[in-house]
Amino acid sequence: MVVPRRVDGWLFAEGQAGHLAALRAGLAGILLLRIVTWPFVELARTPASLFRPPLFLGWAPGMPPAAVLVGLQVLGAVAAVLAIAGSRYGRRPAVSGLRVAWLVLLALGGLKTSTGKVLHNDVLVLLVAFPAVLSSARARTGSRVSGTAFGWPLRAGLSALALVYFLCGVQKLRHSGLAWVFSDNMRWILHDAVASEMAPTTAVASALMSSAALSVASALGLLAIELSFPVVLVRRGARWPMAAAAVALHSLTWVTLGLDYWAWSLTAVLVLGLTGLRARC
Amino acid sequence: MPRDVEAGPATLQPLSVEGPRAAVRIAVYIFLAAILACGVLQIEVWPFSAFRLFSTVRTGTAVRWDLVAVDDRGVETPADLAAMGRGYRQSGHLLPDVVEASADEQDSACRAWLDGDRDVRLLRVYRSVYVAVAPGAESTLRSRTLHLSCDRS
Repeated sequence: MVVPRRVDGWLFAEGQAGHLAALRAGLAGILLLRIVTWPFVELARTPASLFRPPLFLGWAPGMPPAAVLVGLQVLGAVAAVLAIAGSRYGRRPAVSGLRVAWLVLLALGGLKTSTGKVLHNDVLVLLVAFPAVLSSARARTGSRVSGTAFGWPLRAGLSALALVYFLCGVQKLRHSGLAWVFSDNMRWILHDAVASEMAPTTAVASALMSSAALSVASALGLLAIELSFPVVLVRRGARWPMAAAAVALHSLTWVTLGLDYWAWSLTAVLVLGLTGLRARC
Repeated sequence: MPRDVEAGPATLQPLSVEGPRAAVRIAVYIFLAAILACGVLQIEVWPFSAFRLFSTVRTGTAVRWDLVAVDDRGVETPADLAAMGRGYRQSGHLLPDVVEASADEQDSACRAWLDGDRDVRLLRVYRSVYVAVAPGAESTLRSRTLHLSCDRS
């Protein structure tokens, strides 16, 4: 595989052990919340004829029974707690705990997305966490030790994060062009959201929908955030502002559409926050 | 203590600081390339995705697949998939596939939906066109085509 030396040098440059440990603990915390806060046990009633698993679960004849789903949740929660605790001391459970928790959410999220629609809520944290899952370097929080073992999980996770947001924006332009922004598109999205009554309030969506200018401005802002995300790869100073922008984007999505993307917000804040610190990482 | 070696608090063994093995480096590049490739090639292999979130322009005309419950008097109401539980909630997205499936697969899917709500005796699957004259105005059904019908018999 031919990779420009500059890219390779950046991706696998030195990093601080403390940052890797904090990344592990933070990711384990997000995985823990995702694993314990969703009622996976309710999936057990999914009929086999309506079960459409993703490729890696294609071997499963149907949704597992409730006991298996709960067992997976318990296993994932314990592993995530061990990963968080282990990160404090740079112990092996920090590495293996994160791996187990990641595998558990991969399985549970895969089962959740087997019920008819591809669900993206867990996708970002799973993708961003993958490099950290690959890493076997032991590191403890607060450590200032630096080495090439510690930097790449953060930078690879940051690259995954930037790619995902960028692709979200690119697909809008690819399939809709500038009409995604400069038409009534956002007003119709909000129209459907108000009708679905999924959001905690319809007031915000209704207010935006009532003004063509506000709707266009919100669509433009959303698309600008997504398309400009790769700037975080080259400008450290852009990372905290982009984290704030991501939180604003997902908060507004929840308030207007009722779509719950808090895991995306937390993941963005964690990765952009850690890599945005003054110390080199 | 050298700059790149740290003592673990309990074991006093140095923590690893060496860079990743070649296999890991290659895996990282394949992983990042896979994210990009799924987007470019429009591939959905969960957790990889094409990330087509709200990517299609919406207008006042919406084409939807409707699963409709029919009562004894012939009155139609939308089947309440959310009330059937998490396992059913997203299953309305399967309707386009189900109407194209074999008779056996259609029958088993219909039975699953009927089992989800014991009060429903007859289900119909429509492809419906809804139109709203302006954002905020009520959407009205303009046309619908019956694609599938099934009952408990």
